[in-house]
Amino acid sequence: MKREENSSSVIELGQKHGISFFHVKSEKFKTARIDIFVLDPLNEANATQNALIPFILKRGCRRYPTQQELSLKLEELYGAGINVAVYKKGEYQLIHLNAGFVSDRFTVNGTKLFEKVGGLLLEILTDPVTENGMFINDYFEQERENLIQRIRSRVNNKMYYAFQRCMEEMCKDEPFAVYEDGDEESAKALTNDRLMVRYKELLSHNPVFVYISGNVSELELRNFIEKFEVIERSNIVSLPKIQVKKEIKEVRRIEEPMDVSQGKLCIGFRTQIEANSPEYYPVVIYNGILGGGVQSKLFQNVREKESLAYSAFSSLEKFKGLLVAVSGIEISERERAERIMMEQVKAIENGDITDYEMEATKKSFITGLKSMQDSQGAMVDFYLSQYLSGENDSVNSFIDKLLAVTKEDVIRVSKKISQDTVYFLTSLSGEGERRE
Amino acid sequence: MKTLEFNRIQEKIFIHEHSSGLKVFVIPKKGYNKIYSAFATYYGSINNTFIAPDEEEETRVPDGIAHFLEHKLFEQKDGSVMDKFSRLGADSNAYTSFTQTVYLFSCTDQFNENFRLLIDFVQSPYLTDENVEKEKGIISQEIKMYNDNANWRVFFNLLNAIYVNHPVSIDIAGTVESISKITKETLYKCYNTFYHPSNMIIVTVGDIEPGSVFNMVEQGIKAKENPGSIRKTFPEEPPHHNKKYIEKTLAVAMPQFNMGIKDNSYVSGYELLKRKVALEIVLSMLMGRSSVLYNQLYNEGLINQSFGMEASLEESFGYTVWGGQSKDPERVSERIIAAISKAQKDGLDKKSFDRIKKAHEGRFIGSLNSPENISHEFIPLYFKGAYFFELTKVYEELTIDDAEEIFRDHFSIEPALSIIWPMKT
Repeated sequence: MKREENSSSVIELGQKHGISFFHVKSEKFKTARIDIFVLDPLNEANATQNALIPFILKRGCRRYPTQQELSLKLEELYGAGINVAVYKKGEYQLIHLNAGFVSDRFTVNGTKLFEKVGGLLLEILTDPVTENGMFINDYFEQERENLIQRIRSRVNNKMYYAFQRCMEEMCKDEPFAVYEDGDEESAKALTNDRLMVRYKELLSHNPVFVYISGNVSELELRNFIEKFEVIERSNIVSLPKIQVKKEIKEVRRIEEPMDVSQGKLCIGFRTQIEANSPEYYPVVIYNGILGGGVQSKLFQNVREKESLAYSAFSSLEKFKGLLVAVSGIEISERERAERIMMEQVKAIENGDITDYEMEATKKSFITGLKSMQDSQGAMVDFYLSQYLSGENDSVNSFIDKLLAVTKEDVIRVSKKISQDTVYFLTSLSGEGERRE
Repeated sequence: MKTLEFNRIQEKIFIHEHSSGLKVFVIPKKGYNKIYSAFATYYGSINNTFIAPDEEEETRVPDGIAHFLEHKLFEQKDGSVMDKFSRLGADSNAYTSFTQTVYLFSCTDQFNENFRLLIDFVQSPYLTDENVEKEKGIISQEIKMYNDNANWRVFFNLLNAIYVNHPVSIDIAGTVESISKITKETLYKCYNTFYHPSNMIIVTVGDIEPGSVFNMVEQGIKAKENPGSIRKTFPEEPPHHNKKYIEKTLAVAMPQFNMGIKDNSYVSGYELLKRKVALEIVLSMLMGRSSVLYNQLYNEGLINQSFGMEASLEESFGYTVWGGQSKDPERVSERIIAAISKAQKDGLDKKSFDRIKKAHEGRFIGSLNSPENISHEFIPLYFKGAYFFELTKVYEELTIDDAEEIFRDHFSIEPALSIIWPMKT
């Protein structure tokens, strides 16, 4: 049975003063959403401030100056959600504001939610509640404290922490090493008046991307875009090219002790391949064969064959060209685990790739890419990444490029992929049992 | 074939019953690429005592066995089922909760082949002494991973504080010690008891023709008769909590806390759905984002965005739980307890009730975008005698008087408190 593909598409609605607008079209969802991204080149001086600003903005705008008033309003709008987040893609820091709400066909009395929620989201971005020309000082103090706690809480998710720490160690002297939430010291040194200056800089000069998803009329789109005219824009910051190539002199070994019962072993590699290179697609397949799912060499060998781990996978950082292989193991099994993980890397280099591994990996990516089109949030993330890499592939052309990758392509790129750092999150005693 | 329609939310369910007692559901999702299919048994981590068919004596099995069996079913005589799904381009997975075990796949192509594989492997356990022993290493690492997870620990400690005897307070995967006692024989005994189609359902969500799904079920299910009910047994659980307070230390940055209350209603079906919605609305009214309490605690720096709440109701147990990170969880606990008493004295506010009910309904509608989420919610509710989509009826019918009554009944017990403290450095 041949199924017809339901491919979604993105339409660029235009760009004005460094603000780009896109419409992600689809009829099948019961919700609409608006995503606004403000981008800044990742750097130590701004990172902590950038990480704090959206959380202060979310505390209230002039019309709804407290979190409580804002929450009451959102509940009235059928439980619309407004969320903020900060993260990084390669060496760009992204400030993300998002609104999600039910489609108008589910509202009573023809309430038009897009206009109302969209307007509110824009007010949160552009019209914060202030006192004496600064953010409300209580909001500043409270959100700074929350930010410090968030930075400290990185350690709570041990797997993700180890994975990120490995990449930071790899890029020690590069912008990529800056943590997406900044650092505690800078947070403590921040002042409210300095932060207002940074906020105004971001709003006036930084590139902004706006994605509108769902069933929204042309007129509604036009009216929404017009509202951005209130922002005074000039001298738009350009996003620098991300440095991917780097010579590795020797493999570094880092150990970090913590009060844990399971060790996390991360082996970091540099792919030396940029996101817009034709070689990127073979790298994606390479990562799939090494550690992307149940068919992968890491899962099959570290977990299924040797019973060393429950989690064994690898993950690719597209924009910076980093690849990290990870496993959660007994502390005492470190050497064996590292040897078996490295054997998998060597096996690909030696051309030991079965037809099954090749086919199953491709199929898994294709299923993933087609399924992605069933989620509005995932589509926005895909299109933004495409735009930032300069590729602008549709989902289908991305699929075609992956399908075209051959075993020889994977072997060829495997020879460029070089080991950089081995990071091990270990117990305080270096032994298996956690002290009580 | 039977059809149920839910016009307000524009959803439909096609239903087929097999002669073995197996119920099969198709939920159409027009325009979706992905098809999500799950084969579930009403058997989870809490079912560690039962009376097997044709037996009189109660059987006691090691903790963590339902989850262990879930892992083992993926291993077949001719290799791993995951590999077979992977060859067919599908993502396969499984999960074990307190009350159910669910096997699932999602795919965008070759649905029929994948679906036949799902039906086939769940009916074909292949257990040997060797492959049972081997799995113990993998599951031990899974257990250790959860031991380091503060969110998980703070929650299970709370359950330990709430329940005196009920097995819900035991970790779903068991302990390294308990799983060491699992054998091929005990696994087969559990399988034969709980994996009869009469104790199971199949749910498929996606852009698919229901008739073809039902045909494949007719051809693929081996058991033809319904043997009657399985006797799941539970220890007597008193209405009060086990203890008021429980604490532990872990490598976290900030203290984490959970508070909760045991629910003694033991309802099922539509009543359960109604009670769950009412409890969730009441929780939002008391301590949700728009409440006075939440905003006071937040502004005083006592809670942060991690604060959340939910109500969970099963046939043999139930609870409400809320919590997050806090620099002073004991003070937060006192304030919440005070706010609950105040609300009990003042009664619930009608305007807030209506507004929050509307917000919850909106979020429910939004959640219907996701086939995984539909399947995830549909399965446990069906086992408890309700349809997930009936929530739309609850939102229409639930009154403030219903909520008030449920509020007074449930919140008559003082909440228990569980805290994870950071290591002193």
